[in-house]
Amino acid sequence: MTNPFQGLSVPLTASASIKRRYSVTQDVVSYRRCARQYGAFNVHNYAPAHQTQLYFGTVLHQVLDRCHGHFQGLVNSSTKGQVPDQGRVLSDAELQQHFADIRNAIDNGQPQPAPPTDLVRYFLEVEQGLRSQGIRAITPDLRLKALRIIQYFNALEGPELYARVRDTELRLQADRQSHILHGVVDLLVENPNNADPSECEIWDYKGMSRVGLLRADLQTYLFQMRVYAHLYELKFGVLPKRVVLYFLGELDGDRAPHTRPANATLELAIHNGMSSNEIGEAMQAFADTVKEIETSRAQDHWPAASPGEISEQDCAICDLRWDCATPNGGQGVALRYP
Amino acid sequence: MINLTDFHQALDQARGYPLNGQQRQAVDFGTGPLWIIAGPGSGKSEVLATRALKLICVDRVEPRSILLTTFTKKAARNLEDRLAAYLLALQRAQPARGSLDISDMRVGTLHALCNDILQEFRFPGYQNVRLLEDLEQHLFVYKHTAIVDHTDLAFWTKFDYAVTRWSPNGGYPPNKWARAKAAVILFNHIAEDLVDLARMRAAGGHWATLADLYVDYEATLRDRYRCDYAHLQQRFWEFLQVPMGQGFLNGSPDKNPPLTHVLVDEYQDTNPIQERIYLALAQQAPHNLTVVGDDDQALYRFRGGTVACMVNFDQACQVTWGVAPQQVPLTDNYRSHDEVVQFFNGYIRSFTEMNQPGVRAPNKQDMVPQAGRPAAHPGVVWISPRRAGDLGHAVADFIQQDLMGAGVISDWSQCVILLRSVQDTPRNAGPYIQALADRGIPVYNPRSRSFLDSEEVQCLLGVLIRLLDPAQSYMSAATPNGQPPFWQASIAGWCDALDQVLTGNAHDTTALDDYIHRSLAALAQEYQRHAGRFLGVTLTEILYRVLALEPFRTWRQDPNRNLRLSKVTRLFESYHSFNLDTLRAEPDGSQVAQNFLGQLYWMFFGYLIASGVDDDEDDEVIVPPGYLPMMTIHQAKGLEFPFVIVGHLGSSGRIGASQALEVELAPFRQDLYPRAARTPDLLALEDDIRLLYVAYSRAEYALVLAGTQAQVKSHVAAPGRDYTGFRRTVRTI
Repeated sequence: MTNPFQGLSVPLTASASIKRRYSVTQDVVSYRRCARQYGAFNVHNYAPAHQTQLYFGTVLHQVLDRCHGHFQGLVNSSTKGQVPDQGRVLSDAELQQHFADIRNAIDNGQPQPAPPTDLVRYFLEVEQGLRSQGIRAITPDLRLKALRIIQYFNALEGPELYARVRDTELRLQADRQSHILHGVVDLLVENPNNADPSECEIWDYKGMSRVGLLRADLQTYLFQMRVYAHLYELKFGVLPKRVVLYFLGELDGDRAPHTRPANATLELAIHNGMSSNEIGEAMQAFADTVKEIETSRAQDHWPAASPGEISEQDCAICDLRWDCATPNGGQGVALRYP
Repeated sequence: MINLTDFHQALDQARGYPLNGQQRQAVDFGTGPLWIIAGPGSGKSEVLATRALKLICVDRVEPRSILLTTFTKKAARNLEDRLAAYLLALQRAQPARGSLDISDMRVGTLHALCNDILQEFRFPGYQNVRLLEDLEQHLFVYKHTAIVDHTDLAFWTKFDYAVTRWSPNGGYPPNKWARAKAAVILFNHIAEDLVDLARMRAAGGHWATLADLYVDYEATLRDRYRCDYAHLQQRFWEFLQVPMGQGFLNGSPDKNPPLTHVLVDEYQDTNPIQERIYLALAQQAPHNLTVVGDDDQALYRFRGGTVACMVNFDQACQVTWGVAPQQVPLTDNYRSHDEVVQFFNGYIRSFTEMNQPGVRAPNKQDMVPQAGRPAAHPGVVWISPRRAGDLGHAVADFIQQDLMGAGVISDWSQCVILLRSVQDTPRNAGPYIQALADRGIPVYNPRSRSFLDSEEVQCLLGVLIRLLDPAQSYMSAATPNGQPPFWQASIAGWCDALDQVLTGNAHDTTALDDYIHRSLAALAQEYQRHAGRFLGVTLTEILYRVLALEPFRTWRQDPNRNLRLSKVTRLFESYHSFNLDTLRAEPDGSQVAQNFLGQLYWMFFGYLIASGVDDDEDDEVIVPPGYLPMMTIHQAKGLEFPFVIVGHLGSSGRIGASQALEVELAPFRQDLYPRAARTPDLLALEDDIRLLYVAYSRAEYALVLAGTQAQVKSHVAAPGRDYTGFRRTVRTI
C-alpha cells in the first residue's frame, strides 16, 4: 500500500519555553548556600526527612504575623490597636507549666486548658498547623526559646512598631528577560508622619543571631535586602527609605530586654548611605547566581559547598550528609545504622 | 493610556497576524458578562490574553482588579509569559506610555488562587492547613474518619456505584481501602456539587447516614489542620460570604483595589461550587465575568466538573443578576487539515443524543477550517488490521516507516498516541508500548502507572522491608477471609528485585550488604532498649542513608531514576505527615511493633499498590524532544500535534460514580437553574462522544484512527455510528 503522506514534510517547531520563576530566598539564597542541597531538594524534589530546620524560623514568622493581625484587628475587630497581651511576658516556668498541663490533659483524655495569653494561643495554633506540614520542634527547649523570643519581641517592639506596619508579607517581583525573580518582604513599615512610599521601610525577620553568622551568609542576606529594595522600586517607583534585617535570636536571654540589643538589627539606609551601584552589584550577584543555577540544570551538576563555606549546623541537618565530603571540616560523617 | 486601534496594531505586529472579526469582538467587548464559545483550535488563549491586556492598557483597569483562571499551572505560566511579552511589545511601540506592572494581576488555577487569597487575608481556619493531594486525602480518610469503620452492608449497597471491584452479592461490606476510596468520591462530590446537607439528612436512611459521616469528615479535617481540594473551594466560598471576603471583593483603602474583572478559561469543566464562586467574584455590577470554553470538549465529570455550567451560563447570569450575557462564538479553526475539521464537525453533530435540549450550548455552529494544511494528503486515515492484537505493531510500523522513515516527521514528538488509558498492562497501553520498544522508539508515558515496577524503586523499598521485617511476616499475612492480601506478591517482588541486585554482578553492593547486616544487628539492640517505645529514627531517615550507597548513588546520576528515587522520599513524606513513620518496638523488645508494620503494609503500601503510582510529569515541557508521547485523551486537552493516532476505539467508558452521582445528588443540589434530566447511561454516552471529539480535534496534519472493523462498528468511534459511511469515506492504510 502506498504511503499517503509521501512527500509531506512537517516542520519541527520548538515549543515556547516558559520563563522560570526564581525566589530570592528559596532559590537564589539556597543555591548560594549549597548547590548540592539546592539541586536535590529544590530541583529534583527530594523531600527532607525532617523539617526541623524550618521549625524555628517558621514559627517565629507566623506567630509574629498573627501579632500584626491582632493589632490590625484582622480576625477580631475588638483587638484593633492593641498589642497582644499588652506586652506581658510569661516566665519559662509558667510556659513549661502550661505545656505540662496540656500534656496531662491529653494523657488523661480531658479538655485542654485555655492558653494563659493570646501569644501562647497563637503559638500553639501555629504549631498545630505546622505539625500537619511535618514541621516540629526537635527539642522542648527549642519550643521554649521560640516562644520566649516572640514574647520579648512583642513586648519590646510591639508598642511602637505594630502601629507603623502598613503591610505584611509584601510580594515583589521583577520580570527579567530570561526569568522572573520574586520575593516576599516580611514587613512594610511606614513613617507615621508621611505615608509616601519613599518614606517607607522594609523589614525582614531572621530567626538566628547575628553573632556567629558566617561572613558569606551575612553577605548573602545583605544582597537579599538590596535586591528587595530594587524590587520595591519596580513596584512603587521609588526606593524605600531604609531596609532593616532583624535578627530575632539576639533578643534571647534570661530576661526580656528593655532596649533593642545592638546586634538585633542591621539597617541599610538607602537614600543617604547606599548608592545605586550597591543595589546594582547585588542584582548582578543574584543574576549571576541564576545563571549558575541554569548551568547546573543544563549539566545536571550540583556541587556541594566547600568546607567552611557553609555552616556545620546546616550540614548536620542535611539528609545528603552521608555521602558528602563537606561536613565536619571536610572529613564527612560516618554512616549510622540503620 | 493607549487607544484601541494602536493597541491592536501593536499586538498584531507582535504576534505576526491580526485577530479575526470574532476574536476582535470578544477582545473589544465592553462591560457585563461575556460568554465566549470557542471551538477547537480557535485561538481562545490568544483572545483571553489579549482581552486581559486590553483591560489594563486601554480601559486602564488596575491589574490587581483582574482575576484570571486557567485549568493548569502550566497554562497559567504560559499566559503570564505571553502577557509579559505583549506588554513589552506595547511598550516598545508606545515608549511614551510609561510602564505597567502586570505582576499584580491574579493569574492561576482557581485552586491556587483560592489558596493564595485565603492565606493573604489570613482567613481563620485556613492558616497553616496542609492541602491534601490525592494520596494524602485517601490516607487521611483511611486513618481518621468514621466512614471507614462503617461496615453496614445495606449502606454500602446503596452506594455500590462508588465502590470499585466489589459486589454486594458476596454478602460482605467492601474492605477498608475500598470504603476509603468510595468515601473520597462521595465526599468530594458532596462538596463540589454544593449539596444541601439538611435536605440530604431529611431524606433519611442511607442519605442521612452519609450526611452525618460527611460532617464527621469535615470536622476531622478542621481539627487536624487539613483541607482537601474540594473543601478548599468550600472554604473560599465561605470566605466570600463574610466581611473579610467582601473586603477582598469591594477593596479597601491602601490594601487592595476592588475586584472588577474575572476571566475564566476552560469553563466547560467547571463544577457547581466553582460556578458559584465565579458568580460571587463578579458580584459587582456590571458583572464583568468572561467565560471561555467549549461544551463539546467537557472531559472532567469524574472530577466533579459538569458541562451544565457552560451550557447554561445565560441562565446563571439571568438568575443571579437579571442580565443576559453577550455570546461570542469563535468558529475559525487554525489548527487542523480541512478534512479533520469536516470530520469532527460531522462527528459531534451526528448523534441524536447530542442534539437534545440542554446537552450542547445554544446556537452551536460548525468550525470553519482556516489552517490551510496541504490538501494533497489525506486528513483522516484508518489503520485497520484484522486482529486487535496486531494494532500495536501496525501503529508502530506506520510511525516508523510511513512517517519517520519517509521523512514526513523528523522527531518522534511530532506524533502522539491517544488512548483511554495509558497504563502499561495488556488490556491498555501495553501492546503499543511493547511494539514501540521492539522498534527502538523511545516513549514518553509518565502516566503508565509503572513507577513501582522500576528496579530502583523496588530495591529501595526492598531494603526497608529487609530491615523491618527480616522474618518476612508479609508472606503469612492474611485477610479476614483467610486470603493472602493483594499487596503480598508485590512486596515479595520488591524483595526479589533487591536480592537480584545484591547477588548480581552489575554493581558493587558490598557497602549496601554491610549496611543491611549492621543495621539488622543495631535494630535488634534498639528494639530491646526501646521496648514498647519509639526508636527515634524515621523511615525517611533510613531511606537517605540507603541512597548514599551503591547502586543507588549510581542510579541517582540517571535523571529518570533520580526522579523516581526522589518521588519515593515524597511518598514517605506524605506518610510521615500522619506521624506514622517513626520506628516503634514491640512491648517485649523482640522486633519492630507489629501494628507499625501492619500499617505500613496495609495502609501505605497497600494503597500505593492498589492505586498504582505515576511517574512525575515534566512541568516545563509538554513532551521532551526525541520521545514519542503516549497520552490519555484527558492529558491531551488543549494540546495539538501534527499527527494524532487515536486507539482504543472499541471500548466504552464505564457508567461510573460521577454519572450516577450527578443523578442521585440532584434532589439535594442547590442548583441555580433546572438541568436537563439525563440518565447515568446517557451521561456516560455523552462523555464518550465528547472524549473522542477532543481526541479527533487535536490533529494538525492528520488524524489516524487505529481500530479493527469490529471495534469501529461496536462503538461511537464513527460519526453517527454509521460504519458503512465511515468505511466509504475514510481512507484505510
